[in-house]
Amino acid sequence: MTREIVIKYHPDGNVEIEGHGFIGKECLSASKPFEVALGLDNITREMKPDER
Amino acid sequence: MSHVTRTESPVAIKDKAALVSAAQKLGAEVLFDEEARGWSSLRHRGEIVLRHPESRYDVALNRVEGVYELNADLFGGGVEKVYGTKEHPYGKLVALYGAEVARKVALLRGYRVEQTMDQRGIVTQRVVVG
Repeated sequence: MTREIVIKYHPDGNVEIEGHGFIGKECLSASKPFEVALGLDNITREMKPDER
Repeated sequence: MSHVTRTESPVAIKDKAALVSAAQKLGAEVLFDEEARGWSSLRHRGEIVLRHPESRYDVALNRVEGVYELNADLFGGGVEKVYGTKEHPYGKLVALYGAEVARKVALLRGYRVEQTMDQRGIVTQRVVVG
């Protein structure tokens, strides 16, 4: 299965990052470099059932 | 009375190259150490100045503690039309800037990147990890 990260940048500055096709918490480590580079804070995380 | 509005960008703009690339994607000419045009004879200097044929006024960017602040005369709506939305005058620019920063990260890791922007100014980036 293809692993991909979908990042949505809203004009109000909000950023959404979603991981697809990852196993377990692999998606968190995959998205981390993007969060760091973008300087994101106040992050809310929601794990989806198929990625637990 | 000044017609210059200061906006603190929600995503901290620190990467000059990504900023230049984002502005160029919106069709802006990027000038360095230049006077930005405002209403009447109002001018404000910018380390970076964004000029666009569809906006009478320019956007000036100067760094404060390493983060670029955006300043422009927002009167008339020309700036928001090019760089953002009514609610967020620089929203498209900031969204594209974020996408440029993330694109660098993705390409350094050998990932494939696809990107679109809709009418509302939302940039969607699909990073294919493998």
